Amino acid sequence: MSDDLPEEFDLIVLGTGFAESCIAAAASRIGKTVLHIDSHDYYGDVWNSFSLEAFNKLLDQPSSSLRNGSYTWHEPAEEAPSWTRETLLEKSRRFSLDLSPRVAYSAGALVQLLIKSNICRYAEFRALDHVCMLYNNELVSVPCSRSDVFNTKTLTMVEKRLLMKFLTACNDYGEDKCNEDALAFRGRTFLEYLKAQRVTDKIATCVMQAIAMCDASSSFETGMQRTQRFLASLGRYGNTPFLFPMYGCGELPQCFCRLCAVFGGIYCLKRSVDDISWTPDAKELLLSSAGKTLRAKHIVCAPGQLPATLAPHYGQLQPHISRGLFIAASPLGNEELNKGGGGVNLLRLLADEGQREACLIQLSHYSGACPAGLYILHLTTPAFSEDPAADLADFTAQLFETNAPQILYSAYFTITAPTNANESAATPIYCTAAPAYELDYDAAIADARHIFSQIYENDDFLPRAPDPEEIVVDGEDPSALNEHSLPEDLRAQLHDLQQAAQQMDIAE
Amino acid sequence: MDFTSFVKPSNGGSAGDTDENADTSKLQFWKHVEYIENHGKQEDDYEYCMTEFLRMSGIYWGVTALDIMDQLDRLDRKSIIEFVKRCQCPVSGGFAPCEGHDPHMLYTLSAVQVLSTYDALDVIDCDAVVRYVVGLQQPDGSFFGDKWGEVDTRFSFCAVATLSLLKRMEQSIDVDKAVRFVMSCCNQTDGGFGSKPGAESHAGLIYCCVGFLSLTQQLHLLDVDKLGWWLCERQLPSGGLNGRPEKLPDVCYSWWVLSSLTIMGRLHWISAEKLQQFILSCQDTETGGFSDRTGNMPDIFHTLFGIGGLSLLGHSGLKAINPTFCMPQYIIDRLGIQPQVLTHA
Amino acid sequence: MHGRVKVRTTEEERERKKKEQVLKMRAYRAAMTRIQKKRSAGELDDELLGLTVQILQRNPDISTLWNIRRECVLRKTGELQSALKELEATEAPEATVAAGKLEEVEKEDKVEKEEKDDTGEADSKAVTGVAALAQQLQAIYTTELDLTEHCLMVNPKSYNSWHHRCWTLEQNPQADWQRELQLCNKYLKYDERNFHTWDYRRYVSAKAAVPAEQELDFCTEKIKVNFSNYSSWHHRSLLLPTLYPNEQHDRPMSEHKLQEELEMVLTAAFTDPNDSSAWFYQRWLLGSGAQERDQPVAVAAFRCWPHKAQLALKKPYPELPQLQIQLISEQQTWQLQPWQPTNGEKTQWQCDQAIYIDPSQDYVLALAGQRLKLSVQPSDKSLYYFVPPHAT
Repeated sequence: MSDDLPEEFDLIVLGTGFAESCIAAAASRIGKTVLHIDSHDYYGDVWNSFSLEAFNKLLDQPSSSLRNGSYTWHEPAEEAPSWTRETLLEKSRRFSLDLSPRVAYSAGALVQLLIKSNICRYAEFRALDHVCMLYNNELVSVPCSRSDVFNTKTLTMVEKRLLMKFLTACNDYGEDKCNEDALAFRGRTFLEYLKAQRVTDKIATCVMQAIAMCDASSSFETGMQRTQRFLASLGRYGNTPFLFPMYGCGELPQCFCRLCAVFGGIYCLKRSVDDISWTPDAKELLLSSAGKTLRAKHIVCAPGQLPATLAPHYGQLQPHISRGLFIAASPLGNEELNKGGGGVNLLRLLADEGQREACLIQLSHYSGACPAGLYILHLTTPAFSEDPAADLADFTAQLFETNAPQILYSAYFTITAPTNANESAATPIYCTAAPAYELDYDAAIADARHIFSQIYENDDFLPRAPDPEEIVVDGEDPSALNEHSLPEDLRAQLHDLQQAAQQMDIAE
Repeated sequence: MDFTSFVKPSNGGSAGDTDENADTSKLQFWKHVEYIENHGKQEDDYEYCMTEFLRMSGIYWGVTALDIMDQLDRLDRKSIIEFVKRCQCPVSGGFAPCEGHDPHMLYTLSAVQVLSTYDALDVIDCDAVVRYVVGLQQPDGSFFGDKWGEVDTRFSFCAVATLSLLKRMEQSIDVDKAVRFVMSCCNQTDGGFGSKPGAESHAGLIYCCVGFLSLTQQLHLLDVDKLGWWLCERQLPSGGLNGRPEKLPDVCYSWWVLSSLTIMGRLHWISAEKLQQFILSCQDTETGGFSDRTGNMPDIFHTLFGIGGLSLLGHSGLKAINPTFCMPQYIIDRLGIQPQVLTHA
Repeated sequence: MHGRVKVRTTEEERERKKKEQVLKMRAYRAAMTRIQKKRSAGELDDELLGLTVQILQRNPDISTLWNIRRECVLRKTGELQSALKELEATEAPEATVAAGKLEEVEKEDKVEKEEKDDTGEADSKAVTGVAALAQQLQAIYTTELDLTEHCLMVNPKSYNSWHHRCWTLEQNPQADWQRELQLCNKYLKYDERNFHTWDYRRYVSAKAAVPAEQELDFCTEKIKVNFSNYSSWHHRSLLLPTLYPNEQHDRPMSEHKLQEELEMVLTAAFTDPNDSSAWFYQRWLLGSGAQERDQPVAVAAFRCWPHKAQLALKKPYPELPQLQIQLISEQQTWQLQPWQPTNGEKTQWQCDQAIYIDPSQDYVLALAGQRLKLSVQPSDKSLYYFVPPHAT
């Protein structure tokens, strides 16, 4: 197996999850030799998306990073008798079931990074269709954009004005023109500020649950900052501020891997590392893998890919995220929320009087992640026990007791994290963090950026990669322009014209 | 005329020349003169070559702007008149934008405007021009742009403006029908005009229609208050004016709105001071010339409308411009034409 | 020339750009010379068409080149049409059948050419000949439509491209107006404010006889996407008065619809008061209907003293002296004349005439079919009529 593999690298990255792939791409981009390996036979690690069959297999075989897996087949609903366990499994490959689903703010860290680095050409997104909230046990769409506010039937005319006025004030906050009243709320809670604006209960719920994504204790500054983040992402793509990667979030780490490969990174899947050794003064680390010794100046490793010999340095693996995943034959919420078969909807749920929260992402087949007529519901909450179903019970109750969709399949699992990842000074290995509980990729990107800057202090993190046609051959003199260096369309034009005018008696 | 308040000619080597952030609060008078003067000089200039299809209008823009700045003598009168003469189509009587192109109403007006400015209408066959224009009027009163049948209120304006300059409006076209057609393009929602019946109101076409009514002495047909309101709402915080609601400001729209308001006696409904600031901010302090918006590439078209706008606003050092014809007022006076203008309400 | 940002270029870029431009210019000039030569030689052929494409694709504003294309198209279609006629004439007895077939063949082409004709061998030959010519004819039009479509992608505001498209469709008795409607939908998706596309849409929907209800639904959808769409509000204002006429002619549309429209426009204003589109539309909704518009003489005020009468109009009416204007009491009728304008706009008029006023009587001013009831001013016993502004 890959015995012609070089033995020396600037950087060896273990694990092809999101943060590891970012770092691998960034290093490769600045000309470092990179070996990127993964013990699994797929890319993405705990950030990957799986077919239904592969997903079940994963839940059946606990690993260091994923455990407490279980899944249940439900009786097909009367309205949709054709969806049985068999028919679902027949379409297994049409599913992209995410372990770590999330959405991206249109102007957020991920999108900025993709654009800045020109990785966006590898990725494809769907703009989220609705951001929802639960109001009086009913699932309603939160008007996000100006046209949403205009069109919504859930707000009265006066509420529309109040909401727009409030959002405009938030948007202007911090600029010179910010109004004086807002300043008085510095150091107090966002909820206090919201109440002082005398908005109605419904608008307060919209803002707290879906727009500012705050709880009662969130500070005024936090609320403002989050609201602004939400608003800044509006009007870029579609009607909401969010994007979801087509075919699941597992596509994203692979985009970075592709960039890494374009700049010479070498990939090996299904390859684990048995041990890593180093001497305090040496400038190299030695990896023993499949009977071979590899040498690297630096090593980055995902927590779940640490060789057993080193894992104890990073502490115990604890429950980190509790996940539920449901396949349903009908969507959550009414027809209005799922027009034309539905798209991608987002809902933030609260429990324990706002002390705990969970995030629900509903995908229809327009996300490319499941067959037509089916819906995937991803439920995610920070773990506080080894029983993901119990951790999520409060939220599933809110969702399924009043608005029950026809659930065909349900699964639960736990994603783990070492107790002191990234803090082990006992090894020279940079360990990335497990997937955080967050909507977007901010923490993951910050993690990657931080590790990169520790290794390559003075280098730019993922500068823009040139398009293939921009790559300039060394030594080309731009002033020596001839027809061959003209842009494609102009050259075609000249060619056409010169052919057509061959017999012309015009002196050139 | 006293030019001491303006920047000195560039060969005078004033300090302002090397300053990268040259002052846009003042009119860069000599820069603009130079810009227009040089405009046609480099025949091999790419921009110049690729715009030959509207050369006649280009000449009108340059000639008019220079005359407003009292620098008309910088252009070679004789060669321009010769050029215009060569562009008259011997068959139809209309004018082409340049040799090798077809005659069109747009360039026919430009040609007549240029010759009027040079007081040289006698060098062309004016009867043929009248025949050309008259021949393009349709049974419903509208005008074709040329024989290929495009109908637009712009051409109604071109027709009456051309005939007015030739003083041949009365006995030639059916003015009543022409007026009826233009009024059929008036929108009840805002009192404005579009290019054809039912078309959305647009400042450029409002200028054409208001100008048309001014030339046919029919301004009373306008709902001046309604249209005036719509027009003055075109002014944006930057001081510039846009051509339609929710659009960006533009120097040429500023002219169209401004001249329409002037004809309707409602110039005071906008902030002249802020508009002047906006127009001046669109000067290219490096090369001279005006662009559509601050920081964009200048061109000869926007240069005329920039200068013209400033003249309407009463900027010192510029000759008065006639709002209907967009030509120096003294020429309209010399011809003894009096387009209708409403007095202040 | 609109919207081109000025960027500072390095010397190298400038040099490169210049060379590029020189080449472009050379190509342009060579092609123009060749085009003009061929045109004056009367060679209105495919080569000439091909040359114009090269330039028009990059600069659709050169109207002369479109004219040349039209000349070529007319030449080609003229030839085909006379060939068609000839073919039909040689098949004299079947001529009408063949002509009738022409359309059927067209249709068959679309419906997978099912039943071939059943009129026998000889006739089918004529039909295929006719069909082939008809197909060639359509191909000519399609080429023009494809070119304008391409040019409109380059410059969606090119007057010339839009006009050439209209011209081509007008030439073709079998123009596919539904396809044009789809084109409008597509372009309005790219730019919801392009007034050329809206104008073209009105032209096309009239040709395709699209029901006004359907157009109104289209408008509503556009407004839902973005209510700062003055073009859409405008289009709406054209449709509503005919779809929902107002019986009394005192409002632009029926009371019921007016309520709905007001609700919608108020929602827009409440959502974003800074959006001006909605305000103009609202003013129109609340304005008066056809009645006042149709009345050329709208009296704002009238006053009559024993020695003179004064009349103020809402809008200028220069022909006032030609009107019969009467002051009528129970006992007497005065013809008020002659009238002289007292301001330049001809909205204020005066008539110097001796009139006996008896304050105890009722007076009426009659003009242009209107009868205005006058009141007595107690201080000087003059008669007056006055409409407070915005009384309606």
